[in-house]
Amino acid sequence: MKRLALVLILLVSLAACASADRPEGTVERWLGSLNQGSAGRPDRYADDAVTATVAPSWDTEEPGWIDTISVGAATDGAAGDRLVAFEIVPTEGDAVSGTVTLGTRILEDGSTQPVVSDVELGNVSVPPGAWQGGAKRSSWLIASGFGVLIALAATALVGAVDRAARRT
Amino acid sequence: MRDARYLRRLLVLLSSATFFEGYDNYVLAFVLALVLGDLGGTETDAGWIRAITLLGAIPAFLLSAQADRIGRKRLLLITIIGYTLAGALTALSPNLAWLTVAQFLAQVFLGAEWAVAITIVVEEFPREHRGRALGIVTSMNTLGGIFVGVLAFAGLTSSPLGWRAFYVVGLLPLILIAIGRRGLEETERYVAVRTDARSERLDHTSLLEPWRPDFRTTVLAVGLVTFFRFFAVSAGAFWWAYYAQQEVGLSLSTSGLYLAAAGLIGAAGFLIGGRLMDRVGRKNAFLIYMAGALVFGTWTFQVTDHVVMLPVLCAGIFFSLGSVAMTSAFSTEPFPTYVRSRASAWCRNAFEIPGGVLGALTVGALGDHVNGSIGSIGDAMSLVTIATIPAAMLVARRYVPETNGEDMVAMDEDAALHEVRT
Repeated sequence: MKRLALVLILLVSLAACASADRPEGTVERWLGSLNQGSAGRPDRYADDAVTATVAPSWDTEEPGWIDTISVGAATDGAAGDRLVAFEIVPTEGDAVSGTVTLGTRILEDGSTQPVVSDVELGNVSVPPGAWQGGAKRSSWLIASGFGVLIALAATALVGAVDRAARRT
Repeated sequence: MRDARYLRRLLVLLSSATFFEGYDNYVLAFVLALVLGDLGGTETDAGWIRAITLLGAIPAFLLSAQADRIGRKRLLLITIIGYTLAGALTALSPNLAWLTVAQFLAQVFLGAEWAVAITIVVEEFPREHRGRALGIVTSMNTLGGIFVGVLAFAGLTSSPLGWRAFYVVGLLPLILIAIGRRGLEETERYVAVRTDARSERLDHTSLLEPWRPDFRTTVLAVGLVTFFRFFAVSAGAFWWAYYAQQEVGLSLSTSGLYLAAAGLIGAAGFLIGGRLMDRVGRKNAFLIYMAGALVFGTWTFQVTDHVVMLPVLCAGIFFSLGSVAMTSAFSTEPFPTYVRSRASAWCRNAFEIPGGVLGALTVGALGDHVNGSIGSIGDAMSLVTIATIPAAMLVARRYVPETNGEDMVAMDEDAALHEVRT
């Protein structure tokens, strides 16, 4: 039982520590930052020229001016780069859609960061929620096991404290 | 025993205070984007503001524990005045630093107000109506939050004061104090204990008194129950709008409408839960609500159909938020009057609030769309719900005492006699 508990803890910890790299997430954040009005920082996620092409007056808009943001699953471009389709629907005005190319920006400390480096506007229809990550089937099993584990551990802890308190 | 007229007035006063407590708690999250636009700030600044204001839970713990020393009435009035003045300072903010300090102070008083309001309900209302009264007072917190949305829908942000207008509205509790405080009396239980000669031997001040062997098991059990419950519930409340907009594709306006509608239904969860507690007992009511939270809380973050989403969200909020009526009873009723506020402070500020902070952070880390191991807020939220709610249920079932119909007078007598004997 103890070994099983340790294995479960290890699996969950490893699952939690594992990370992934999702270009769709970068595009989402970029579009989300355009929706912050003057407080937004789209320069963190995209080159200024790309932002100006998609939303030239983003910084003068009120926060929440974009009603829906849709991002598609990344695909591979001909040159080996990653392409992501997107569509934004403002609360007023026409929808803007297209396909962006993900590139890499080298930061001051030498690390790299994915950024939106190019955009091609066009009539692309991206249904809401088109892309999203997700848990593998094993994650559901692990979460259930973890639920049992911490329930037993919490109960055992209170039981131990209770027994000690009664002895006092 | 208080007469019905006094209890009605008391309920109105406590409900109003808790209504504005909920209001003040939700305002900043709602207007933050406008604040950043007005005072200048980034998403990182917003994160820091949130983190610093949440730290207000630490002094709130110390403040709410003072109710055992200075009395419930005095502390209630202090907290109402405190959070109202902090709101006024927020409205006058010339920069983000000022705003952050003002909101930190607001959290100190808001956290303590909730705790002392619950304690007053438990001590003043007769046992057969205590659950119902708890349900009413706790529901006001959610309704206060919904009121923020109503004011926004009514166009308060378009007023000349902009976001500051929300904090001007928050000055209304001062009128409450002016009218209500004259009729407010110290709780009968508190007066009885403090005037009882035997209670002189009881420790009315030490923050560690709830951890003596007589109460230790209950404090830890209730603390863990509230930790695990709020780990999931707080994360769900924080992340639902993001999930609905980014992962399901609901529009901003529709998600706001859904939240308002579900919030109203959720308020019914408090009221029904309060009555249920009186009928079937606190523990059974909690287990029923947690089972509902487990099912509907998990389902809420898996549903993608826009039509199905609303009733599932309503059920999720009904059970998840409504269970706070039970945890409020858990953290107050098992403890004698002389230590009740401190025990409640430990359960809420030392366990529940950290659970809420960690829950939102964990889901964010797991569900991060760029780097998270799950990569989906919806799935991360469902997994966290499955992993934590069972622990709250099991610990409650085994170690939290049933207090339906508990005789507070007899409990206080036992505590005083026990101290005399030892």
